[in-house]
Amino acid sequence: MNQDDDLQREIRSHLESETSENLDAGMGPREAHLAARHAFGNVGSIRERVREARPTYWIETFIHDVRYGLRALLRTPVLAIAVILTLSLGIGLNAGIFSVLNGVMFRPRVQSDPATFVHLAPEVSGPEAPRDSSFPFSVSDYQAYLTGTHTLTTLAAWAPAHAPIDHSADTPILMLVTCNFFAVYGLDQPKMGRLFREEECATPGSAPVVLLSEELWRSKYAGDPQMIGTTIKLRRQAFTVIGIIPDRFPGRVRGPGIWIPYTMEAAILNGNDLFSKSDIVWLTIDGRLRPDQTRAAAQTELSGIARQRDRRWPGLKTTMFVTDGSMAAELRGKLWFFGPLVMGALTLILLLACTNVTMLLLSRAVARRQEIAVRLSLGAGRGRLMRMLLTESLILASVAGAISAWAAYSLSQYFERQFEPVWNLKPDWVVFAYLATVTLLAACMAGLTPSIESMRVDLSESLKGEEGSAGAGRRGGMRSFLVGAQVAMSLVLLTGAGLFVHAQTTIFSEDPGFETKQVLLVPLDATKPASFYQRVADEVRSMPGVQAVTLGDPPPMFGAEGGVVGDELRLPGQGKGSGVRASTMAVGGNFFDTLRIPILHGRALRDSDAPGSVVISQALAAALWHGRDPLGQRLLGPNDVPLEVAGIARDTKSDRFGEIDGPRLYRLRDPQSRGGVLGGVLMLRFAGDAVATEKAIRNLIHGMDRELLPVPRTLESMREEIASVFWRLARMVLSLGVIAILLAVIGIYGVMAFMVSRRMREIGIRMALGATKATIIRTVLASGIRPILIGLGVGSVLTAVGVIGLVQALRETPMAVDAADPIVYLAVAALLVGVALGAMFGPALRAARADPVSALRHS
Amino acid sequence: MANEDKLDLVQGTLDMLILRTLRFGPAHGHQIAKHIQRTTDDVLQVEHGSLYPALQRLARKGWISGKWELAKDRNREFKYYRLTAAGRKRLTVEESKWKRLATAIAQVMWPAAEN
Repeated sequence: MNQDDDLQREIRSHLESETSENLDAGMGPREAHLAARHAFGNVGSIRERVREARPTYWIETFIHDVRYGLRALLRTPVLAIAVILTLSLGIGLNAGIFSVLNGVMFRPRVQSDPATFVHLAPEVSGPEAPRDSSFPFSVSDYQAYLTGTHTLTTLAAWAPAHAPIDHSADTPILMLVTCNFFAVYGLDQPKMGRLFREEECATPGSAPVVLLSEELWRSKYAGDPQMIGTTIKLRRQAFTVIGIIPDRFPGRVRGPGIWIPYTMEAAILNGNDLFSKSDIVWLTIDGRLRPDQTRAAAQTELSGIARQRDRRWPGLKTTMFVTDGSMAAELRGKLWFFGPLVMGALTLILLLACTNVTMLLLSRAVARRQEIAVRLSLGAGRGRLMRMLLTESLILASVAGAISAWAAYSLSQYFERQFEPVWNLKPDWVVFAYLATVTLLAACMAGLTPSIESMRVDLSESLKGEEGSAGAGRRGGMRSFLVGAQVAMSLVLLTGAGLFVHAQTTIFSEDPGFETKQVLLVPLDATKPASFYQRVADEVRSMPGVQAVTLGDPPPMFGAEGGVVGDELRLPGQGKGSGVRASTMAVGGNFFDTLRIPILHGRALRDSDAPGSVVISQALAAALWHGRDPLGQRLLGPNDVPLEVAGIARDTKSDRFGEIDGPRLYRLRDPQSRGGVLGGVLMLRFAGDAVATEKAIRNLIHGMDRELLPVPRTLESMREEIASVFWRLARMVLSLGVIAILLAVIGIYGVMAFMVSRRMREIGIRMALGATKATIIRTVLASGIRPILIGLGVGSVLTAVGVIGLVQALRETPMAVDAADPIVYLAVAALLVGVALGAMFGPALRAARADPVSALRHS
Repeated sequence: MANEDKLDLVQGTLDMLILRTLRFGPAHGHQIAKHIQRTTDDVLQVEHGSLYPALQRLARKGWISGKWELAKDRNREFKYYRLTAAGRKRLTVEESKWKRLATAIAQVMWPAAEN
């Protein structure tokens, strides 16, 4: 302000000089003074021009605008708070979910030098192709890539597993890793002790050493400083603790976890030797690029090695992709629907919030025209005024943005706790850049229309204070458009939420086609001889309350992640490739009785049956025989094994909730089998209390072998566990829907209240002319219902598009939505119309209750 | 009410006139205004106030510098402006530019044939 004083002094000095000259020329004192002023021009505007020429002018006026904006906002604190809350809801939710998506989808799970990190993601096809594409490599694959590569400095392989520590109930995530794993994931030094040595991965089974995560060390061992060198037992093998991995190390495990050399897998995976059977795939491979190499070069090189390895099996074709290790790259478009779908929903919420704020500010903008008119007539530039008004919405959005930053942070932390803590969801610069962009956009979207509206002033009208309801047609159109848009957007969101809730209720209400509540599933270790399991089964059968017992190989039901490919089954005479793919379950003789799966035709399997006897599901019967009677018919299994149909079982609904499973083949389990890599399961149907039976079974088996401590669970609890994951998702979508409808109600209410207050004079005239209350209410409602109906129409088109996207996105998950059910759509539309009418009713009632005289005076 | 014979200043020429005025030695705002008015026989109409934004602009560009000093004859302080070395150079550039412009305009307006 020193500069201003200086100028002031200069101007005064100038005027004095001029005045004294004029006096010398013979003018009177008053005349001399006036002439000097006249010659000088408008002092105020000159000072303003000098100020404008200053380079700091922009900042100065900005500060002025901010101050003015703050004062204006403080004058209407309720409005300001409403706007900020609405914007925070829109922006915060948006940024929070974005930070989760960003953390999960676009970030490689390493912290140090992500630029050189690579992840090998092959696509394998052919008759011998492995089913699980997450763990596509065998030990020999790993060694071939490791020795063959020149573009990568190193490659590490890993596989996750679970193992109880010292037979206790908690089973942290266990990682089987190559000994260079920590080098690839960017950890040089453990917190304590040492990392693995290269020679510890040389010979299978030779190095029983283990690294613990700091979280596990603190929670389970109270951070015992003497931990290094002690032993812990994983299954039956004692492992020496050699080091502690620091807190939050991103090596595929966050939180409690342990790492052991992958050469120790036999001790963890039930004695299966995956090193001698070198073609079993179970590993994932990551690596680091040489500094001068690119991922594309690595992909070319590794594809060459993959092609050489493909020659071992006829028809095997491996397409190698080298990615940056982020989930988005890994999925390669498979679940790409999901991101846009979620972000689309969030964008709708943001738009809803913005339209709400627009409407809130709009009502004030009109109220403010008089002030603007005064400013304009005093010579303020329109551009300058516009900037002043926009600054206000920028202030609002900035406050909302700050709240949103906090929301984004806590939301991502919440999600980190909710899901398996393998992801680092902390917001990074991408999130904050996104947040800033969204905030700025929101400020412009919400602020622009009201600012333009305030500037649209007829000077003489406004100054006279006669700006009334006349000429509001175009502006009313703007508001109708906003209401329509809100209804349309809410309809889309609510329908999505409705579909999820509908799907959720079917999960719990629908009969899956087999008994779940009274069936216990007991996982068994595969290291015992087969006769031991038979003995366990016999003992369990003789327990009180146990009604039926059976042994099975893979844990049945809920195993498939949807869209199971399965083995190909053919009729005799059908060529390879023209058959039907069906999932296969190896079951004991009592399986159908134990699970109460009805045999519709023929008979169930018996333990005495020949190994070729099978029971098929209805779906398989339909797919192979097309309505003809399959009983006693022959078919060919994998490797041309001849099979004979003994019975047809009713279809079950277990793979995807609410959807009938695909074709399924039940064959008799090999009595000598000890189960696959994961061991077998014992299933039993019981009468009475589940918890007591669980405990009795656990004690019984523990009594038969001290090393076994199985955890029996009912099928129902497993079902609920899986369902709960989707319930969480459904809840999320539902809460978005609730927020949408809340925003819509606030918005519609706001608009109606505003329109009613604008039309008060007109309403007063109508009432003075004898209109009844009912007529008034009807008029007000009628003026509001049109945009709502149009919104519903446009919304249903958008909804159709959204639903198609949703169905696509869920195709790869065990969750199915019934998009054809009209109940959801009708319910949502009815709800929305009801809520909208409710929101309009309040203002309409207010209009009808108004006293005609005071309404006429109101202007 | 404006005198038909008086001219508004051409955009940008005020700067040049100020620089030219200061070539005769330091002057304060009022003196500059009076000088311009006097030397053009009151033909050029300069609103005194408009001098000040121009002075600010020139000072910021480093062509002139201003300082409050006591006037010699009177016991009063004025803010005196003087030409800097850069301003002197600038004035030469402006002058030659102006000369070329004036010549060019003159050639269009009064071609040699009519002379």
